[in-house]
Amino acid sequence: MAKPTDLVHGTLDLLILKTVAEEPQHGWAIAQRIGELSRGVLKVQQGSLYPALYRLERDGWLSARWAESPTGRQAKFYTLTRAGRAHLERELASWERLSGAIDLVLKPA
Amino acid sequence: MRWLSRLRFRLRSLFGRGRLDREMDAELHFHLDQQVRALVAEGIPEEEARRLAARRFGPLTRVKEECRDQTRVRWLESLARDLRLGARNLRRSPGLVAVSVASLALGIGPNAYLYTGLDTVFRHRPTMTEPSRVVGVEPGNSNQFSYLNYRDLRDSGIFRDTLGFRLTFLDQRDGDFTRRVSALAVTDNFFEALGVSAALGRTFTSEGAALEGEPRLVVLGDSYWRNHLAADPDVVGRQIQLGGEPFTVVGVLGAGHRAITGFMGPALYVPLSRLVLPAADERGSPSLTVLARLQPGSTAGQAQAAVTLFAQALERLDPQRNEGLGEPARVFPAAQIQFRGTPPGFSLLAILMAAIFGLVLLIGAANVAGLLLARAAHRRHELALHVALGAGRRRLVQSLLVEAFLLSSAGALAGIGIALALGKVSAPGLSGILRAAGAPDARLLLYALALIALTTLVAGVVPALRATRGDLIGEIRQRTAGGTRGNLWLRHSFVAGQVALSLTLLVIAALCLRSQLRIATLDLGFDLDRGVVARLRLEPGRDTAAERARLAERLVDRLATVPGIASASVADLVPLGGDSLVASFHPAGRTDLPGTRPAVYSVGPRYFETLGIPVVAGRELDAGDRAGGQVVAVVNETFARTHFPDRRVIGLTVQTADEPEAVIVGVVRDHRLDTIGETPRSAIYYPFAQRPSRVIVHARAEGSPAALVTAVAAAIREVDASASASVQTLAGATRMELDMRRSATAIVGAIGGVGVLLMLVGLYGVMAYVVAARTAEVGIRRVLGATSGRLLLGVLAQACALVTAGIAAGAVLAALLTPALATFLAGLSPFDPVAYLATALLLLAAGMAASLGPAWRAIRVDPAETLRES
Repeated sequence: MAKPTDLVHGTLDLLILKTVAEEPQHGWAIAQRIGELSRGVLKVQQGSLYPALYRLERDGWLSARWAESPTGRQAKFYTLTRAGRAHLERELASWERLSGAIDLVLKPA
Repeated sequence: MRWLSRLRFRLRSLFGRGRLDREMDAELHFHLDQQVRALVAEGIPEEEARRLAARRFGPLTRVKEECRDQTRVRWLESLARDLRLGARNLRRSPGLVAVSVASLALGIGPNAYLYTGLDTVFRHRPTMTEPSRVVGVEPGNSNQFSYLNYRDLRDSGIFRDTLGFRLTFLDQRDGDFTRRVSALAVTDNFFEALGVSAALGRTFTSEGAALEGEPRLVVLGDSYWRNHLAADPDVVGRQIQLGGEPFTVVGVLGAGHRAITGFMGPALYVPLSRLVLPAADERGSPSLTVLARLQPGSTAGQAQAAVTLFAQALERLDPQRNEGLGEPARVFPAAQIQFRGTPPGFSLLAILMAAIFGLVLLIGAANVAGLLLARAAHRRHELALHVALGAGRRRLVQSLLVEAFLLSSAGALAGIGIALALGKVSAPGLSGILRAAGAPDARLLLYALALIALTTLVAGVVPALRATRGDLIGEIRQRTAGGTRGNLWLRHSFVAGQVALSLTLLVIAALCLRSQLRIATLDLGFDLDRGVVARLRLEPGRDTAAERARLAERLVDRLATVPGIASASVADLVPLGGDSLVASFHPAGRTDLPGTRPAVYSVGPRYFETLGIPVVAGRELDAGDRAGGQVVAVVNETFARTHFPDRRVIGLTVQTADEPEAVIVGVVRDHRLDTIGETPRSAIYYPFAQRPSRVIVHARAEGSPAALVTAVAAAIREVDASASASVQTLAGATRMELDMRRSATAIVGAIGGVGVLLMLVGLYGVMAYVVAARTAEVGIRRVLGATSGRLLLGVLAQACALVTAGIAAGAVLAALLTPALATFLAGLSPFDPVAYLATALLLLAAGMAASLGPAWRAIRVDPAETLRES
């Protein structure tokens, strides 16, 4: 297994928000999804995941609700709030700008 | 809406901590279980899977910690921590705490007390229905209407109801004992129109209480009923003797009734009659304050125009008596009535006291600020440690402010305690009003909180900001005491500022104390300590001028034979007797009154002798000045000086608008007439026999006057049992006037004393600090060979310079403020040099004393020690 890339704070938030934007999920599912979508490169550790989730909930981008998971157990599901959706858009845009700029610098002339 | 969900989250974190924790647990365990499942699905046996999963997860507690970190309501928790730490810190400096709490308590307590009192007085809203429709009405030439004019106004229909009242004083006889009670004489519709009903019995109605019927009814106020009639439930129908006649009690007002005349309401209410309003038939004699209820739909402006027109018509009908009536009338909200005709001295006094108490509070807060400043500077090591551990500046300031807040709160609590205690202290005059203001209420609490906030800011912000400024760690490394130029300047101006404020306060206190002493030894111009005074009222049927003159003569003759009486006379005044209080309900808006017109009195033979007023030229009035004879008069020195300067006045004639021409036969020394602090006025004294007036008998006792009161009362009854007499010593009769002055100055003096104490304490603390700042410098100087003496002198010289600067500033401030005091100072100049000099010297001495201790300590420090430090 590849060493999990060191993810920056804000980037993790972005990933979480984008994942939850698809549909409400609980923490485990979010981690799995991110791993899936990134083809195994990004492995989110629970040590970073849950604090991030709580932070996002505190800031009002996510709202949480206890509900029954597909397996029948109670789990805490996170949903994107409306404000969260707007925040996601903004962050995506700024990520595009940033990564685009970095690409320009790194690519051969 | 984000803020809403954020708020909800925070609230949950605060109050639902337990549940939050449990949820966190459940969530993390769910994750763990899912991990195990996934591993098992890959084929790893359960046991192994669990172990692996747990390892990957990491210590559960750490994750929970991190999560908790995110959910914390940080600022609240840090606040709680600051409070705890602050309290612990303060406990380690009991001296600081004691002084600060005392300073603040002394500053906050009197302020809170004063606030409650003033608040009650000024927020007094008289009891009435629909107060917004009730207005006060004043004609163009006065602030009162004569009864006849009032009646015409009432009948004019301009207002739905028109009512009038007049405050007066009646002698109530209770067996042998007579007391003067305040009574409001009201029109028959007074209570009905205002919508006031009685708690017991009933109030007045138009049938029973019209003036024309000469009613003898009375409605009692609640406190009078409780204090003097023992709250007798059967009081309705009883009779009480007022002004020599029996009045029937028809009702008692409720305890919650708030009087129209202001916070100190009248004891009783009587209907208007010729007994209480002798001038009822005189159209030209304004005597009633008028209130009215507006017609539905009309405004005050419309009413004002209507009243003016109406008054103009009245003036045309009787131009002589109603002169000026047609000038624009005034119509204003009824609640303002209680302040018209109030002696202006009262609100001035209130403002003065507020200012003084405010000053004390400022000094108290400044004290605390100074102490905290000094302390914070000494704690720089500790603060640097905090910085090194990662505390931001905001956190440091917050923790320092919290300490200031704790001190302020403690001070405020103590202050409220003082305010409550002050409320129980009995003192005459003004304090009586404040005392009666009642228990503190919610507003007081709010006020106290406001004071706390204010003091915290004043006392805490500056020290906190100063202490955390600059590179703390760097400074500590160098171990300097932060002696940059800007720093010193602040401390120095702080000391100077405190001294200045204290000087102002002390000067005010000194002025008040000096005037206190003066009052005690003041030459009133007459003998206060020998006189017995009897105010008489004749039966209505016999109350004519001739009867009065005859009665006066018989009384004086009879009294002269009473053993122990040196001389007796009659007059229509009691000097400083408070009669002027009633008179001041006269036209308040006019500027052409009393200052220039002489006061006019009727006095009998030997009046001046009886009161101990020396005759400086000519003679007293004597028995030869009879009715029908040549009209003569005696004048006082001010009159002679004002109207006939540099001339011999005896033999000249004097003519005033209302009196016949009179020949001046004597000049007497000035004496106080209305108030102690008054400027001398011209006065003319006519013979009582020629100009009979109110009958007030004066007797001069050979020994103590108190012993003669009963004898005098008995003698009067002998002469004429039908006349009602209220007998007391002259000193007793003048008490109220003196008391008011006395208590006001006493209070201020006390406050001044408190201010001194505060200042001394504060000064010591701050001077100690200022001097300590120079320790290094002193050490160096010593090493360079300076002697202890010179060093000490140097330090003291600096202290002296600071204090002197403060004194100078304070003197300027005081000079700006003290002229406002002039009315209370009984002739003492607001710039009295003795007061200023004495306080300046006192402060200088105090400042020196305060610096001596620290200075001494500073020079005794081992120079090697100080060098190591720098």
